[in-house]
Amino acid sequence: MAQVRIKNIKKSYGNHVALKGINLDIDSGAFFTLLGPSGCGKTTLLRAIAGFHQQDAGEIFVGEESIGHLSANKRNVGMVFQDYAVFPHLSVFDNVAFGLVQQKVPAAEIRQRVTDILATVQLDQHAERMPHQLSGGQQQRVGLARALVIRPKVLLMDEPLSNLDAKLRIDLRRDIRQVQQEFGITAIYVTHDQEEALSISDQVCVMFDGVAQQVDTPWAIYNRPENRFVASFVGANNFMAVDTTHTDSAQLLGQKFDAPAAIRNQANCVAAIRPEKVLVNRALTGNGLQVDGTLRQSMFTGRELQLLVDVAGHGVLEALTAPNETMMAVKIGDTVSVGLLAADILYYAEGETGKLLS
Amino acid sequence: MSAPGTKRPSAMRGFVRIDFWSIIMAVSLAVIGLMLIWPIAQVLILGFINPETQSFTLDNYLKVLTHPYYLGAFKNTLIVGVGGMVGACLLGVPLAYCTARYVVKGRSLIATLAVMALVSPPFIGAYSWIVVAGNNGWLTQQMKALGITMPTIYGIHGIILVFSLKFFPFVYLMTESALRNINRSFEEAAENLGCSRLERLFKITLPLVFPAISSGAILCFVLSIADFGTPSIIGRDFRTLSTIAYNQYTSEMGGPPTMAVSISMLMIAMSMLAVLLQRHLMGKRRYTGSMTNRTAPKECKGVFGAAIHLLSYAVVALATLPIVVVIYTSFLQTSGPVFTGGFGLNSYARVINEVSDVIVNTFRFSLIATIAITVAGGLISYIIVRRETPLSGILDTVLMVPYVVPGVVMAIGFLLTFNEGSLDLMGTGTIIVLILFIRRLPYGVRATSSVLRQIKPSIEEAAISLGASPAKAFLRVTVPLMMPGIVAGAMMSFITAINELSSTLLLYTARTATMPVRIYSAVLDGEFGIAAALSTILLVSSGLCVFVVLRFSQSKEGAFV
Ligand SMILES: Nc1ncnc2c1ncn2[C@@H]1O[C@H](COP(=O)(O)OP(=O)(O)OP(=O)(O)O)[C@@H](O)[C@H]1O
Ligand SMILES: [Mg+2]
Repeated sequence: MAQVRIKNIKKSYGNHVALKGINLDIDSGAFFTLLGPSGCGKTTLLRAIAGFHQQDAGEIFVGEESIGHLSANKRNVGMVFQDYAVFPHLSVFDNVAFGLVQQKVPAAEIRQRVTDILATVQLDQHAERMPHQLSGGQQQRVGLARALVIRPKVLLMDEPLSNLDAKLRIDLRRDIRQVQQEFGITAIYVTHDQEEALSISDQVCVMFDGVAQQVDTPWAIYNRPENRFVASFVGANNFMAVDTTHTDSAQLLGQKFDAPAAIRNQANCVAAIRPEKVLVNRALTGNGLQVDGTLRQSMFTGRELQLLVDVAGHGVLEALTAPNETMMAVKIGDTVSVGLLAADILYYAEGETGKLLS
Repeated sequence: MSAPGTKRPSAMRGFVRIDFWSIIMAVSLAVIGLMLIWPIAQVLILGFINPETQSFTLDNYLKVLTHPYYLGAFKNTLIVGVGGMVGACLLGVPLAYCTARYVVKGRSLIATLAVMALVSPPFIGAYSWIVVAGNNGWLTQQMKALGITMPTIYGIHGIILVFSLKFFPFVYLMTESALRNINRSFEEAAENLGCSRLERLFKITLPLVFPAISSGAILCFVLSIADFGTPSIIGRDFRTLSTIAYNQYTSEMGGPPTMAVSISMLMIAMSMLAVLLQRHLMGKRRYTGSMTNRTAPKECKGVFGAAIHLLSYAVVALATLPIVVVIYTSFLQTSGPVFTGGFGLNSYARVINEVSDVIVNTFRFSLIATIAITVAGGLISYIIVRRETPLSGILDTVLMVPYVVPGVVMAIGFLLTFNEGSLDLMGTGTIIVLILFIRRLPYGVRATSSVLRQIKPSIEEAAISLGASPAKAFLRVTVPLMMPGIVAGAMMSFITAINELSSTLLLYTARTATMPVRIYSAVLDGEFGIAAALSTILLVSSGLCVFVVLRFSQSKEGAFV
């Protein structure tokens, strides 16, 4: 239950720079997620907050207190580990009681608090078991209970669900979110699963190459990615080259269109549109452009229909539509029309992390 | 070799499985029955027989358990066993912690020296400490010159000192690898929950490596109570069960060795109890290590770093002192048993002129035993790992027996078994080869089976599906993959075979004496020059084997424990 501020954290391993100056403001009680591809520095940042290694520069504040210089055992931040780290030589009860014993909490109170938290994570039946008698999901519940029972100011979780199977991952992620809200605790969560990040978080920070690319609500991250990396990493996107060489007007997919003011003087830029916004064989309902293409592939997944349409000379566009019988009847090789609404298109400067132009 | 059974339809094969491996199984069980179970059963039974009347009696065992002479030896054995074990832990665990958790320069040198201490002949520790700190020892003389009287090295503390320094590498090597394998997250979680470094060590780290420490410790205990050379050389009047069993046997010559076998059973019981106790304590505590998420050793500078290095090197320096002393002594000039000052090679000249047959014997017996162990060990480990039947389970369990049977006891069993009729092997080289074989077979099996467990059965099944017979598949596919383990196992068998004393001492005759036997008698006769030269030859041979293992085995020092 404290605000967390991270000021200009830098960290290198030898001459590899893992964190290039990270600044974050995390609201008290927020569920804050670090999302990014493997090797982008998520774990490095989390371990600096936990105090397992010292950052090269920068400060960490929890509430008004600077904790960046404290040793890990003095920080009072809870941590849930990817590999559970449930002590194999202690029972479930003793694992959860471990931190309370460290704090010299009276025995009676320990018993009460451990019992309560085990009930919260639905492990009250298993208090006396040894860790090897638990499933992976149950072990991670122990890990969660153990971190929560000491009432930390901040709860850190490094990919806590990545060793579990898909179904369990969804169950446990609901539980984690619920417990977090119940306790009103500030949580910092690491994942490279974007669906998990969007569904569970109040705020998401997309990281890449040791830099925080965008910090925003899940809605904004998905609908208004601030740079090209975020746009391509979170959800699928079609990127199309915009031709601004014609003096009178810009061209997209070989069609003249009304380019927004922001890209008129831009030498090189790309347009992006989400597959679910690409209209196949449907009339445009507003300002936009329409072009013919050849259907290359059609995949029916139950909930939706995924289409790949080749627009001659301009590459293949991916489209997602609600399945219907007319669309299912279209055959590979048939000509279809592709429509894009101007309002659905975002423009980015060239380069891997090119800025949003608007 | 390819089995007739393989050509039959598979329905028949399930009914009568007489294939290659069944034959191997039958032969193994027969050999182990004859050479391991039967001799030990003889020892056990003889203890229940009254030597005068030949009738059943409990008196012998009761006497061993009540008579002050035996009780005294029993107590002494317990003391040196526990003393050696505790000493080994006090040296081994801190050393393991230093080298596993801190960057220690020359870590592999430390490990190699520890391994050398482990594979050096069993009694050179006792003998070297006498040379250094005995009545006329070098250190004793130096101190006397300064007016300081050294406490005597003879007796109980000498034995415990030698055992600790000799056996600590077991604890060290096992604990070190366990420490390295601990998942880093455990220690971080403890720290995250408020543990200081010291608390973390006692609450998390040591409990997690307890299984490794205790296995090493029990090994030290079992080897300490079984050791014969050390207490008989440095113990003076301090008698342990193995020295009195030997003395009893040699003095009971002619009559049945009733008391010697009763003492023997007591020693087996002690070792077995120790092993069972450790298993019980460990219970289900077998923690799997982590292959990837390990703690990196920490760089230490300044006083602390210097202290870490000093501690690490001091321990291995003390442990390798006997090796240095022995090699040094072997190059001293002698005239007969007397050192005349200065350096020279005449100890080696005497060895070659007077006892070259002993050297030939040692290498011949050891080589034959090693080949036998390697072949049998490879085949048996295959049965145990790949053919999981009740019989292979029995084989696995029975192979534990030599671990807890002291060499003196095994030798008495052999003397009772192979003494008449078609089994009469008394005084032959064969009986020596056989005892080396049976005593070291379990180590050979363990070396190969641990490698075999890492080879997927599907590789061999692929060969069979391509038309190879099971025997051929084993020879052409599995054996080459097992080679590193086989080589390491063979080297270890050879090292232990050339250094074997406690069992051969009861079995040798003038024609079949080995180097350790000759060294032992040379030390007792005060012929230190010959003893040192022979020991040096043993050391160099062992060292070469160690080099081969370190060079070819993936597990490096781990291959020795
Ligand atoms: N101890 C180390 N020594 C050297 N380089 C390291 C070390 N730990 C991490 N790195 C490097 O730092 C970068 C960031 O690593 P980090 O573990 O923070 O990534 P991550 O975002 O957590 O990735 P993942 O999703 O795979 O867990 C990587 O390029 C990694 O190779
Ligand atoms: Mg990570």
